[in-house]
Amino acid sequence: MSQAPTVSVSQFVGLLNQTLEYAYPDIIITGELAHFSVRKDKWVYFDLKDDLASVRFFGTVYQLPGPLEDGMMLAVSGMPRLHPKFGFTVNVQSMRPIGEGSIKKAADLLKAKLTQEGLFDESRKRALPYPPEHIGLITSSESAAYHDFIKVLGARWGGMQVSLADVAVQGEMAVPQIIAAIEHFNQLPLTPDVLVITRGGGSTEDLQAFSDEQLTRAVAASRIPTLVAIGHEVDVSLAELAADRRASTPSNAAEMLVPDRRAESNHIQLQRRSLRQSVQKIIEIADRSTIERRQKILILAKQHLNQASINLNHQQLLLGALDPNKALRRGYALLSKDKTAIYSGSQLAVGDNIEVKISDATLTAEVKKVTIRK
Amino acid sequence: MNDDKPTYQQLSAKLDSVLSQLQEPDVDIDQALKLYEEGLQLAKKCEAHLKRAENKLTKLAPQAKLG
Repeated sequence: MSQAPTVSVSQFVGLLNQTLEYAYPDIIITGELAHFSVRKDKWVYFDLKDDLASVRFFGTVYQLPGPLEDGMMLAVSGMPRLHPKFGFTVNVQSMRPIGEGSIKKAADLLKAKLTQEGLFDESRKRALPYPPEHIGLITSSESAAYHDFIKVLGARWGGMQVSLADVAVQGEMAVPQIIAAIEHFNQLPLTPDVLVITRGGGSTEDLQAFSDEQLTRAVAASRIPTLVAIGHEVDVSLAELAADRRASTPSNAAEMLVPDRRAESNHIQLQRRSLRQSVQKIIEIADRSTIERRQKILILAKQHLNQASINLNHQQLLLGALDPNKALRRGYALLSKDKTAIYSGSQLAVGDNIEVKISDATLTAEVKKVTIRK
Repeated sequence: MNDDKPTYQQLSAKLDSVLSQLQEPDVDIDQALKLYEEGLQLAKKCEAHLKRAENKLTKLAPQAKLG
């Protein structure tokens, strides 16, 4: 008894905590949630229990994966500690629901909460640039999802910049790394045109990160438009609901993001043809109107010409009627004396020589008698 | 995004608009020829985008992963 160490109560608490820290630097405890409560909007208290035992936990609301309910199964990593006044507790470092039922329950509760906040509203959805020039890609470079996405993207479209944030897409590090990547891209001086967050399918637990509250909020808060593609069969993750667009698989994401260069090339050929046809049509219409106008001018000119020739005929007739030779041919004679036409008997005296012009001869005659008619 | 260089989306939208202007009933021939020239130039630029084969992939530095 005398060899036993003697310590004060505070020293004893200190010693115990050192021992606990040394013995369990890193431990995850699983159990059913009971007596869950939040105080002052900040402190979280709960028990984890199984058939035989129940242990008290303490944490903050920032460590919650989302809304929780008694009866859920949780996995909690934390530091066991003896509090100097309040006794034994485990200080929470991180926590997540486990088992399909609890994960689904937690996701449903969170979904209801975020839906109420309006995080998934259609009115928040933005259009993605089509095609983008610069893509911020958030995925694991070792995943099939990454290779599928890059392959389909490259087959369809080129000349883009793809910046990859290589992150864990499942496990403890997935949520903090994906959130950090979203924030990193949003803080760049030249931000990408779109963020693509993708991974292939997996079990409900594998995909859990994509229904995490903080991650879902980070997707919703991104100033860069987002496309989230998680390959899965049944439930849609909350991150997908918060994204501007969602795709069913990584390949589908690439198809949604960029056009297919062959289809575009055909389309441009059609547009070229359409350009040519439209302009040809306009030229033809212009040509046709020129021809029509030329014909109109010809018709008008002909009408003028006809009128002129009718007038000419009239004048010719008139002229013909006035021709003195015509009168001579009808038996009249034209008299003149010393090249002066005689139109009165007073111009003549007996014995004058005059010229008599008839239709086919000129006679010289002598005046024998002049009788002036009154 | 590069501001001084139009994106494919912008070029393609412009080409669509030129085409629909060209199909207006009251477009005169001088205008039509101008639009046609413009349309051809736009189609050429669009096709240049299609010919860009490679995508440039850059990996973010690992420290960026955790912010």
